[in-house]
Amino acid sequence: MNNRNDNAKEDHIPGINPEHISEIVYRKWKHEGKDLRQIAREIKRPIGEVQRILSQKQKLLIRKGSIKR
Amino acid sequence: MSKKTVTERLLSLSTGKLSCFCPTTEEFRKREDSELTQSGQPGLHLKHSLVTRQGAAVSSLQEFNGSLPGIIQSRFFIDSNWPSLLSFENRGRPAMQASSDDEFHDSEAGIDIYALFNAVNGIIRNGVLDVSELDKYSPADAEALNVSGLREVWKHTLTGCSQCREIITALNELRGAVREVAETADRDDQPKSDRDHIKPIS
Repeated sequence: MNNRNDNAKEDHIPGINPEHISEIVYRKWKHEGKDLRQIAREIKRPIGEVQRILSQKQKLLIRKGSIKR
Repeated sequence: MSKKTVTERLLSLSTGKLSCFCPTTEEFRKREDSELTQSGQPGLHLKHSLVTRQGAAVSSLQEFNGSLPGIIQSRFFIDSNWPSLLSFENRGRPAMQASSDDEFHDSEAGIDIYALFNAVNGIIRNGVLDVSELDKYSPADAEALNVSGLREVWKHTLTGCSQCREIITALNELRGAVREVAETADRDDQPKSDRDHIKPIS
């Protein structure tokens, strides 16, 4: 368990809590109008991961019905 | 004791008496021949013979049920209203069409309309998502995003899928609505003017 936490700490970039990365990606997309490449560059994450995180967040919001489909 | 009686009676039905409920093969053949002569249409004959065979089987079993002794005894139940698996109307019907399309709308692999929308940054050209945006990715990024899979999703959107359109609209609204909120929030976050800091003279 401790080992897993250590790995998580090593993975995440300084100043960004890994638990909040979804919120950060989503915020950059919706508030700042940034695209996948820009977000990936800024948070220093692979573009594929950014894509996956953003899609999941969008699906969650649309499923919850906060945005009318 | 009663079980034995029932078994004996059933066994006695199995040979001679069943023949009165189920028409023999010869009778069927004669009936089919006469139907073929009357209709003169091979397709109609085939369809009709299937229906008559099914009907004959159902009625035979219903009569057989009626002949079984006792009220509580278990019987054969056949719902004649149930759609026939043999019916010609069901042939060639794309039963899995809806579920295969769902892969484009919400894929566990992450290659769906959401991924396409994000990859092209929501840019719409000629009423559809601008697929040329996918060409702007480097080979490494294209591989990471599975651009070839996204092109398949884009092809699906060309069919005019209403669900895809709804998702694209929702995503556009989501981004637009939040931008409006962000603008409002930014205005609130602005430092207050000096006038606000001046205490009124009492």
